[in-house]
Amino acid sequence: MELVTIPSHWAFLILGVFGIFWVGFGWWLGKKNESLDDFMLAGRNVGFAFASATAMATWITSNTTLVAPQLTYQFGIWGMVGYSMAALGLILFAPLAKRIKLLMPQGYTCGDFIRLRYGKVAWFVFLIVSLFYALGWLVSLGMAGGILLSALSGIDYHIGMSAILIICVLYTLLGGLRAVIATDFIQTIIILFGVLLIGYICVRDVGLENIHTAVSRESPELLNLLFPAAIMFLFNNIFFGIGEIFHSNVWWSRAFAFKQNLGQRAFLLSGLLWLPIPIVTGFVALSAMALNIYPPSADMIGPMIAARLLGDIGAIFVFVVVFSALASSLDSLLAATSDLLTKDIYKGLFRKDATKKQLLKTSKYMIVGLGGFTWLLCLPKVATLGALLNFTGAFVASTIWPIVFGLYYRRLGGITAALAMAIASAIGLVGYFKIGFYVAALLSCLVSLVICLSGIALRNENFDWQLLSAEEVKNND
Amino acid sequence: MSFSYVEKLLLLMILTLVSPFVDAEGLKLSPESQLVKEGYYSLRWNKKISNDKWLLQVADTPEFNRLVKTYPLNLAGEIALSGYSDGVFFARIVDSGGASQSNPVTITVHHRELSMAFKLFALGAGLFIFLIVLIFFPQLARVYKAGEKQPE
Repeated sequence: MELVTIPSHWAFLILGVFGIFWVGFGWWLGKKNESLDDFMLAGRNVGFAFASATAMATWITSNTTLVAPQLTYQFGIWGMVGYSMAALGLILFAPLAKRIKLLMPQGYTCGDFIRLRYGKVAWFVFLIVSLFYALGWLVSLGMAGGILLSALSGIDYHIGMSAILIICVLYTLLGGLRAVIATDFIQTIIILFGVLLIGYICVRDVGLENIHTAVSRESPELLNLLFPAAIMFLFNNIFFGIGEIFHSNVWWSRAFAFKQNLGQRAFLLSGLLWLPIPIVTGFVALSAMALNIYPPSADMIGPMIAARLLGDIGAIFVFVVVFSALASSLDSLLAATSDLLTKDIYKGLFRKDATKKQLLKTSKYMIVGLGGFTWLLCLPKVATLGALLNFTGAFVASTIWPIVFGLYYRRLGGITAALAMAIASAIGLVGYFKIGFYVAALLSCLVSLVICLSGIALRNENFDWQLLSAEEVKNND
Repeated sequence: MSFSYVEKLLLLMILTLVSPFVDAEGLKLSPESQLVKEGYYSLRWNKKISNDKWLLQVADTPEFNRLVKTYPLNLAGEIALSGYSDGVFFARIVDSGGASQSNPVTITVHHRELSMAFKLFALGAGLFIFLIVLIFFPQLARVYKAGEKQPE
């Protein structure tokens, strides 16, 4: 039982055609970019359809197409349901997006908010957490590209990984956030169509009864609702997803870029549309036993089953769908992280007097540099996708409460927020190594809340909301 | 037949020198971990083998007389298995005639305590409810000073 179904020259041809199309499209869209706001935030004028599509497409990533089947293969029903609950991150971010736009109508990054709201100590801690997560996600996406190509066509992992990184860096560089959002829209249509088709063919060809019989006979724990590690995983994954979205500049930059009063509706709709997708991709993994497919590593189960179900032509189709899913997240992450590096690191630490023109130029250098650095980190394939991504769970979950308290409540101070993020991340990591990846985010979230509430009880801060917009205008001038 | 001291020494040296090559020829199966707490595990083997002639057997007896499942192998030299309930399992690679071709390995599956899982579940549910209250019903969250107004 081997997966390799696409001849290498076909895989190279698809990569070439897709690469030329996306890069050309990015270049064409980039011609409209004149200012920093155009490049970083698509002119702050993104409409409802594009807003919903980009939020959804960005959240459909290697997580959904590779890791959701992996976790279903490992944790069964709970893995599938737990993964779909990551939609709660998008749904709960909807009111936050409205609040963000209200408090900081001219904002650029989440780092801006943390610095103005909590001061420099919390800002440093937040930047470490945020950049660590962004790199972890970027590396997992680059690795997923390599794994996908290797699994579907036998092309060397390093070539596949390099190809997807180069294509995404090029069109993000040429088109900025405008290109990211427009390509996301097309990629959403491809992904939705592909996922639904694979799910339908799985039910039609394998059959629900066969799947159930095979799983109950060979892997009974996958159907066990009292599967201990899977029960632990459920809320861990929910808080991991919420932490990923609440703190990441990928989502904040969209909140800034969407038209006034659109953010809430767009995030809510994207969350509701995203919710069933991991159920479909995860469900496909349960047919592994009926199809007698057992992967070399758990993160390859999704593409292996899809390729088997769809045959040789289907393998090309799977390739296109997963490639679209990866690209839609990689480009967003490149754009948002380069914004964070440009505004928070370059302007915030080194060139406080940098003009918008200089920032625009720097932002482009950052995209190239970030792509190169990701490539270097992807060279040694150090972990499975699930393990790598979940390692960052301890970090991102620590930011949930500082973000929520920071946006809605005056009383949380900067030192408390910094301590909450630092200590909670450390304890989450202890949980990761001592118990398992499926408790890291949950423990981190708990510790962060305890510290935040203690800080609120002990210190009586009274933050002035007007400072956010006033300082923001001063910084942007 | 007896050997002199020098002959024994020479024999020992020859055996020491050839032993790595002897080991390299044997098919070695190794588990990623011998104690599994999540019901899933990986097994690796050290040689590229033909996937249509060799199989992986998993049994719940060391004599392999009660097979749990026989798996097809792949050329990657590794296989990920999942969904196992508590128990001690034994694995080995066999040829198409059923003759053992690798060392047997033992994997013990012992799932985590359900009581601990429920505690963490309850904890997660509590945190989630608090988060919902904080975002949608801030007046219920009691993190305000008395009389403080919701920020506009």
